[in-house]
Amino acid sequence: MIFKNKYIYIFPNKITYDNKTLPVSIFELLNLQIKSTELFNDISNKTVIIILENSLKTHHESLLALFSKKAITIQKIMLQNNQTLYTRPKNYRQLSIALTCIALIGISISLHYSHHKATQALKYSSKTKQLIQGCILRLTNFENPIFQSTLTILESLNKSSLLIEKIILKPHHAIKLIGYSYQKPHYFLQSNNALSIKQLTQSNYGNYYEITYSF
Amino acid sequence: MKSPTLSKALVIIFGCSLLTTILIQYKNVNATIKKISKKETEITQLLSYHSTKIKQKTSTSLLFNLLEKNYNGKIIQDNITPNKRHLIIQTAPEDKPLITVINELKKHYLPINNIAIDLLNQTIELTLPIRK
Repeated sequence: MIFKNKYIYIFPNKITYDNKTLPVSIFELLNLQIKSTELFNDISNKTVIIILENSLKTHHESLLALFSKKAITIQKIMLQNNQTLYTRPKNYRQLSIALTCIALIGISISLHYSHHKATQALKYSSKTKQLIQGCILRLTNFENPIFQSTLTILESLNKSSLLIEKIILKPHHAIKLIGYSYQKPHYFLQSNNALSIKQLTQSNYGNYYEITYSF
Repeated sequence: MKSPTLSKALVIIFGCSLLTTILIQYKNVNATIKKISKKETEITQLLSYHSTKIKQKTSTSLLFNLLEKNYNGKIIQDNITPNKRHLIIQTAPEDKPLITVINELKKHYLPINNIAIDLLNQTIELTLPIRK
């Protein structure tokens, strides 16, 4: 039992409840409203169990009507000899309201948690998208460094009189250029420490040179 | 003392506010899930594009096609050993010097062991590792 019921003991000439006794007879209770005001004020909006003296058995229906009129719920009417005269039909409304509320609160908490997780997932998705976009950008603008270095060396050699015959690229090791020139391209060697020049032939009319760029 | 009508009204107000909250939360979750779904589609498309781009950049056949198309390249020697593939491509560029091939090659991701560009004989010698 969730709520405690209030017990009202009705005798032919008194009414007892909550250790309180009202000198009101059953007839006064049923017929004179003024006499019963105190009782109804004390038990208003409560569920009660009425225990009648055995001789008042015939009045239980009148009492039921009176209490219903005052919007007081009677749980049970019984006699002192434990004979039950009336039992309130079971009503699950309050229980179902409570359960529905608990279920709704549960759904609300679950939705809040789902929203939190979904927001986090959205953040991760945005980061992943940015990451992939960055990768694509790098891939699109990718220039192999060994070929880039070769182009830089070739651009520098534009000023010299070297006729390039062969370009040998060994990724991660070296770039080699073999060419013919009337003069040794010294100025080129001075400009870059990673470069070395090897003369391959000995002639007065120009020679073959091997220019090596080491990584 | 609360009257039964007030209690009922309070229960109804509480229930309604709870339902409204749930509806708003459901709407938010639904909107976020839709956004995630959209993002996932975009990510899938980007990944697919990225994958295609990588395949293009690392494809040997695409590089050969490019050399064939732009420099009239023909494979005159193709030796395959268990570890590497050695190729000599004879070119005959009509309207541009062979040196410009470096500009084409620099955009490729292709793993190359060695490359030799002979400007005198117009050949490109490539040594490529064989993937197992």
